[in-house]
Amino acid sequence: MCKLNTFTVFFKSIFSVLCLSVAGLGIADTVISGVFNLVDHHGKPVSTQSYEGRFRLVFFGFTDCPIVCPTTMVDVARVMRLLGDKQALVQPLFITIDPGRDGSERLASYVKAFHPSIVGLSGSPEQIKAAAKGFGVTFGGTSEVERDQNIEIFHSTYIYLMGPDGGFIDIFGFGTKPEVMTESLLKYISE
Amino acid sequence: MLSIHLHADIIISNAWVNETVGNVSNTAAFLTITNSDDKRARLISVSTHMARKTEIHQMVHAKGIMRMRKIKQLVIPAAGAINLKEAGVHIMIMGLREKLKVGTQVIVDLTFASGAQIQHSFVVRSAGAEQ
Repeated sequence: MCKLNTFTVFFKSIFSVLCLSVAGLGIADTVISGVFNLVDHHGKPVSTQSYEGRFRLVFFGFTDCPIVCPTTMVDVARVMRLLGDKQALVQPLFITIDPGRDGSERLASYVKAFHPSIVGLSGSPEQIKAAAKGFGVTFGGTSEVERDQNIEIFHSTYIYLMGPDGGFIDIFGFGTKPEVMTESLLKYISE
Repeated sequence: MLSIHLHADIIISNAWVNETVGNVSNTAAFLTITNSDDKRARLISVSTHMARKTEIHQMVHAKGIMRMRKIKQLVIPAAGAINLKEAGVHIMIMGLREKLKVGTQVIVDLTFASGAQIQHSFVVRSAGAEQ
């Protein structure tokens, strides 16, 4: 895990590229801007600025995803519980990569099944693509039509930790234990 | 576990299916298949009356990207076993006609290339259960 706590947001952005390359995470040369303009599961337009002042745990997935997404959601829910009275400082965001299927109602029932604080975000296919680009997320074959055609499904599985200003702080690989993520979060919160 | 047709060479164990979440009608099932025959066995079809479609999917996770594709058959080596979870394989169940609640069961039909058919009961587990 890259520890960037002593750098400013600007340097964090630069170093995020280096760290991701060094860690061999497959998204080298990607600057994580964290910029998005989407719609939350209440139907309200939201952007990076909407969660100003809160750390964010951002994850891309889709409700029909059988393994990675529910596992990650369970882990994120566990992180929120482990944070105790600090959980108000953290906003988990689940961004769908299947906007054709994952509308507000479907997203709302999905995220609430894991933890009441998780917000599901959708939008137009263009908005989703732009958001994915902002996080260096790659995906394909995840729409219902593509899945029916048996096209290979692939998607990034990282959880992105973004700071209260929306800037990139850290990244957690799939399967990172909730206790480890919580410890890391608490460290950033206390700085 | 319920096994309507007994096939001495093939034993199904540790069979479970994840509960459904929210309004989602898809889920994944896992099991261990033990083959005591001296020839390899091939699982070629999986179905349940509770869902529109059921497929065998192989997953590969590398460099932060999960890739998943339908496979036509799953080979269980001669005198060997395959644990689907460990092998990165799952039974993808799509278009469930009702929600799956923890503790209930789903009857699944497994067909092998030899013609053997096994009906087995899968227990519904929490999505957050230790697996």
